[in-house]
Amino acid sequence: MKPVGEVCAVVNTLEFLAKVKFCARCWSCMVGSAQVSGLLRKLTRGEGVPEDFQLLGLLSFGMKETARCKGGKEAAGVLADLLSSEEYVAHVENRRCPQRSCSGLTTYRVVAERCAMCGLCKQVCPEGAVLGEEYLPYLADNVPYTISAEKCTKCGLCLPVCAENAIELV
Amino acid sequence: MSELVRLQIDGQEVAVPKGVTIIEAAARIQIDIPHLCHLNGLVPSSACRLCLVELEGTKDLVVSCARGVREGMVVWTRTERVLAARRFVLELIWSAHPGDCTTCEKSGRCELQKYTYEVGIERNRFPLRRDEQPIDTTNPLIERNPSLCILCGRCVRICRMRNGNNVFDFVSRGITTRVTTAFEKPLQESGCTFCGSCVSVCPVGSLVERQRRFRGREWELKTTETVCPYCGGGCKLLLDTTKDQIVRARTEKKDDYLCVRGKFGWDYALSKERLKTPLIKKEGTLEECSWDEALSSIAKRLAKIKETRGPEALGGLVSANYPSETLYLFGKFVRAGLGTNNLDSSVRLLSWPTLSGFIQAFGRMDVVATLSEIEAADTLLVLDSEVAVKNPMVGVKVRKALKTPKKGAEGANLITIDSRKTTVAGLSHLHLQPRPGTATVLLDGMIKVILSEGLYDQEFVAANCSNFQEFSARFLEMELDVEAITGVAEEAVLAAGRLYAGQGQKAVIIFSPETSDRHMVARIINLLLLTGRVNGGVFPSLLHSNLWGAAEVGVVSEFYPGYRPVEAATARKELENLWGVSLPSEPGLSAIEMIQAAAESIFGMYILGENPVASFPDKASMVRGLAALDFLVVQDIFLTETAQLADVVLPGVSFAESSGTFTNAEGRVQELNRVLPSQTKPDWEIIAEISTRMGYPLSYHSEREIAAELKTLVSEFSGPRNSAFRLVLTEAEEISAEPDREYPYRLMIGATLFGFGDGSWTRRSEISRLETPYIGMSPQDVQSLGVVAGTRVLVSSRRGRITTTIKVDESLPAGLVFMPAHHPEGNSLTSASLDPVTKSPRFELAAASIDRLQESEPESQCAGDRSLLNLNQTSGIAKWN
Ligand code: SF4
Ligand code: SF4
Ligand code: SF4
Ligand code: SF4
Ligand code: SF4
Ligand code: FES
Repeated sequence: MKPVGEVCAVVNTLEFLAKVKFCARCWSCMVGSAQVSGLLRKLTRGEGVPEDFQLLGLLSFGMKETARCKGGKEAAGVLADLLSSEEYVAHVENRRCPQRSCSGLTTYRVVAERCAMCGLCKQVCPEGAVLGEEYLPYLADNVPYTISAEKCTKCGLCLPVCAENAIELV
Repeated sequence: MSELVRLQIDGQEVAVPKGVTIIEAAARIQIDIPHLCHLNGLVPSSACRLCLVELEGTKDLVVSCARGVREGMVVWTRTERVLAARRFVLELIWSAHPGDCTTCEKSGRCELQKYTYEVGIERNRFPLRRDEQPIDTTNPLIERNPSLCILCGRCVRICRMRNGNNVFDFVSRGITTRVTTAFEKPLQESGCTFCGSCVSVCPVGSLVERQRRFRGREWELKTTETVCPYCGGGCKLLLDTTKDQIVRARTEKKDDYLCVRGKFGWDYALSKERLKTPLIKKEGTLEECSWDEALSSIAKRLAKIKETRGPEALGGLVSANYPSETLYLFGKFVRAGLGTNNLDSSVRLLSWPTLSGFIQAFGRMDVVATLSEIEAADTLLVLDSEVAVKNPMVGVKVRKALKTPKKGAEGANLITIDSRKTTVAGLSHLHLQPRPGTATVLLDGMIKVILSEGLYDQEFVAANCSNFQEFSARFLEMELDVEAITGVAEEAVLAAGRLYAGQGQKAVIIFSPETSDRHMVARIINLLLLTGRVNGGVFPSLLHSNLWGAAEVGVVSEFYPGYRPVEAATARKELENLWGVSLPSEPGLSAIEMIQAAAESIFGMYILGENPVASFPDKASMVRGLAALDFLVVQDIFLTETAQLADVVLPGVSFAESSGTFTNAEGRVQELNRVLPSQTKPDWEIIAEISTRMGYPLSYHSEREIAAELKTLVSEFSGPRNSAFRLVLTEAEEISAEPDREYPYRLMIGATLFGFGDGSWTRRSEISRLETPYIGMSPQDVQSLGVVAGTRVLVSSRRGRITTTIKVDESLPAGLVFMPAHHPEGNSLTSASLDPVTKSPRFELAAASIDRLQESEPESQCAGDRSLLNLNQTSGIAKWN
């Protein structure tokens, strides 16, 4: 597991697109780059479908061929690099974000072995996604802490409160 | 011909002149490279990227609409790589396009639709859409649907090039980029002149004519070529029609020009107010009647007057907006059928000093320049003429001349002499602003410069102007303090004289015949002779469509067709032989004289399409005269102010239902073709039938037959050139009343963009919604009078008074006020004093007073005031002057 914090290549590309200087007078940049961002964002949300990956390929080819300014061609290059990177393949094929920076491709989980059953995460969770009960001694049927994938919005609030580092992202 | 460059496109060799782009070179060998932002005639913008091609030796694809050809280039337009790029661009454009082709007016002619179909894009695969934007319907003529805009920028570029306007521009960036007006204001507040050029060039349905919405799909339209009836420019007009409706007017090439009147003004022809049946006056009111009743009544009553009072008690008056064939037949009917030379037309009021002056001075009309000669001229001298409004096409040519490289110069020199800061004045290198009404003296000043500095064409003058010595001596003796009279500094007059006279330079004088009297014309002729520019040296910007033709076919009292003088016995003989009757030898009365002589020597009149009550000076006396006639026939398409006074009204046809020819201000004869079936009877048929009923049979089967007869009488440009020319010395009279305490302003009446003639057409067109009747005042005058735009005021002259609304007009100098000529009541203020030689009303600036309207004062009737927009909205169109 990679350390949390460093962003993945997909998010990196998104950030690059937001910063790059386009002349913004041809369709490649005006609409093409917006479509790229749209598709990549969809991917980070975990909603990517196989056709999107095709479209991204088309955009990378098309923008390189047709963009009018240097910015556009550069963006096309960055996109092409992304598409051939291992990380991207992980995103698409394994539906996983190795950097855990794409919320849609990440799951929050309580590692039972480390959990001290203090219940702090349950207290901070605004979504009520943490299930389980505080540990009471001599009670045999206590309920361990787990995170409901349906409810969890991946906001990350529970991470810092856990003294045992028992919440992990996969 | 500049040197040729050879290149290869898709394996085909092509040789094209240097400076041509790849896409143009390809077009010459019928290779159509798809394109959306490119349009011939516009500067390339390389925005859409659809025209990319492969160029051997270059890594990247190149933009064929912007890349110039080079010797030896090898270009491929249909390789896999090119096709893939093309498909990508289209798919991307399509991704942001609503694609509502079902109800889009461009469907069938849309360039995006065409290419998308060709490339075979089935559906939009991309996730992101552009936000839909509301459709702009804030003006009556152009509908903007920004959601369909593909940001090609053609509208931005054509407007800038053609009108010098920046109505549209790109705003915002990225996917939110839009093409729109500054601050999203309505077009009429953004300096738009509604030429519709942007509509013509828009490749998609983003800009469309509102008039055509839901009235016919592209593939249902039939196109007929005809001529615009709205000015002497004579633009070719293609009218697209369904069975009995005009749907749209357009040009042949997308980037050809029409002004608002040509592009949008045709709708009057479809007005519900068109007369459909004849009307006859019974007990003081006009009632519908049968054709037979109307025609026999006319024949009977005209014959009776002829019998009891003699043929010279009858008169005929016709508007110069009819085809030459109709005009000729009307003239023949009046002279041969009725037997009188009391025959005249609007030529008298709008261009007679000019046309008669030229024919007298030169013998031949080829002294007049063509529109392309204007474009190619080295120097243009624009006299007292808001050409950009009167003949907008000429305005476009002037603008083009300024950008057309000439030998030793980037473009033409432009000198304007006008008291107003007109649009053209704003483009001038030299703008002389004489006091209103003193331009003639200013021209004298220029002539003096040319004479005293010896700038005239000595060879030409020596060979052709027999009286040069005498003229020059007398002219230089004359006392002339130009600066004192005109208020223009001597140096400016000097500069203008020198610039205009420039040896070896082609110069064209552009002026307004309707405001130029005999004296002004004499000075123009002198300038032409002194500089030897007797071939294409002048352009009379004729206000109406067939003024030239009307003079040529002889609907002016003193000339038979082909400028044959009525007094000349030989000419009369010739016509008597052709027409088979004996013709009267005494000269006839001119237009205004006839009406002034009503009930004294004129008792019956036949008026075809003219509306003296509205368009002749001194309205009160015109009404008095026409009402005093024993019998008045008016043939027109609407129940005009004049028709309301008639005993019988005959419904004629509009330009869209007429065939024949118009001769435009360059002397070009152009075909008018019937576009719609006649709503009533062709005008010439009506005239022929009445004549026949009166015992002078005019039996023609078509306009063509009339044209053939006319051809034997009129030759192009009329007559041979005079063998010698005479310089003319006339003493200009100052006839305009000096402003005084009581009437402190000088009133100028002139043309505007959104009106025409007596206003009877434009008032029934959507274009009139862009202009309410008004009086224009300079900002200074507005301030000192303590009024604002929109204030109702009473305008009085020594003739009469009317009420109207103030508009601030920055082009006017203080003291000069301006009113559109088609103001329904404007001629209540003017006077009909005639020049003794030309019998035209003298152009005068009436002295006027303007007072804020008191609540209690009754408003005068403003028939034309049917504007739907309030004044605040229209004041933004203040650009016309
Ligand atoms: S990430 Fe947020 S929503 Fe999910 S369990 Fe932790 S606190 Fe709750
Ligand atoms: S602009 Fe063209 S593609 Fe768009 S809806 Fe209209 S016809 Fe269809
Ligand atoms: S109608 Fe003419 S003036 Fe108006 S925006 Fe279009 S091109 Fe410009
Ligand atoms: S409105 Fe039409 S012409 Fe103008 S930029 Fe949009 S698509 Fe092009
Ligand atoms: S310039 Fe004259 S002829 Fe041409 S469209 Fe305008 S009104 Fe018609
Ligand atoms: S047509 Fe060449 S870039 Fe648009």
